[in-house]
Amino acid sequence: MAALRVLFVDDEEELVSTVVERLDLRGIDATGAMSGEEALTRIEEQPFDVVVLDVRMPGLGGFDVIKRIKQSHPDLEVILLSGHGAKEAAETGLRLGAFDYLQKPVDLEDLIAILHRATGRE
Amino acid sequence: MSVAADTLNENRMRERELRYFGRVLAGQCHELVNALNIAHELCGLHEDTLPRALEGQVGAVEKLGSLARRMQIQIARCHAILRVLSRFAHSVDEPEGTYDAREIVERAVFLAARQARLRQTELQVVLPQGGVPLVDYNPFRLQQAIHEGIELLLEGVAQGRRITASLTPDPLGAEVKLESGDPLLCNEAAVGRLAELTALVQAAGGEVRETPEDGGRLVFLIPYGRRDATSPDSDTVGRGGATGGC
Repeated sequence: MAALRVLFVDDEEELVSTVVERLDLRGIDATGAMSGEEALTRIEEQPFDVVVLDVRMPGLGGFDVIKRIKQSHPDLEVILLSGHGAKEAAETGLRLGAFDYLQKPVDLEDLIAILHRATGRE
Repeated sequence: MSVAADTLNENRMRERELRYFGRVLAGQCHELVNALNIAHELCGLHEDTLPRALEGQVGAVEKLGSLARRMQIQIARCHAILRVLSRFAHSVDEPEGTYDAREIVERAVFLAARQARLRQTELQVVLPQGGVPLVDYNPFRLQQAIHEGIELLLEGVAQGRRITASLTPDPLGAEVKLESGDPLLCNEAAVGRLAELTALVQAAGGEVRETPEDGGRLVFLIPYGRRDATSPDSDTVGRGGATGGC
């Protein structure tokens, strides 16, 4: 089976590079993006199975990005990430079409389990 | 003004201070969480790398060292935030007294940096070499005034621009100038907030000396100094005031 292709989007560069490296070590083909704008560009350039998206970012925020993704790539699954105490954000994200929602800090094994569920690879 | 009106104004001021305190605290909590999230992932990667180092894989031991240094950077980031946050929290209780304006301006800009980053705006602070003592001042309210001035400018600033907070000694104490390359938003809410900012600065013993629009640039000049100043220039305080910027 081909490796899962994941786009991980967060404005903290160090977080992105570390998570991408950890996913790669687990056989997942992970790519990082540091902004909503960069994520949309990447999605146009190469195919992904899942996008993992931070809600709060400078410029285009997670909700703006998910709206655009669902318009241009309705089948592309999105998992939202956010900080503490953001239940409303989770509900908004799910309403906008997110597959699931995780609160930071994320346990990597939990994230991978959701990535597999999102792509039917359980 | 009646006692009832004074009490009402004081209550409004307290509510506003509390809202400001909450905004700063929430923002800095997010910054701390960001740093801790990174540290969490770096620890995870450290754990991932350890078996490879034990197996003697080339570069794995060096990788562990590099990860430890990257964790230290995030720990230092947390300490820097907590140091400023602690000073900020104590400033609520600090009595009016003599303070170095440089420290207050630097702290206020640090605490507003997250909001600026989310608006994709760079915040720059320009401080003089020597100390700028402020006598009989309330440090909390000066921080609040600078922060709210920056927030006001952020609403109108274009993406990718810069806001500069500069401090210069003034015959009456100090002058804090907040500048952006773009004019203040010209709506009812912004004008109302500028008036509130003026009131806040006055409550802290200063004045919004002028708010000129100079070729599309908005400038706040906020002099702070001795309330009992006997300088020949002291009559300049109280002149002018916020003009609205529209």
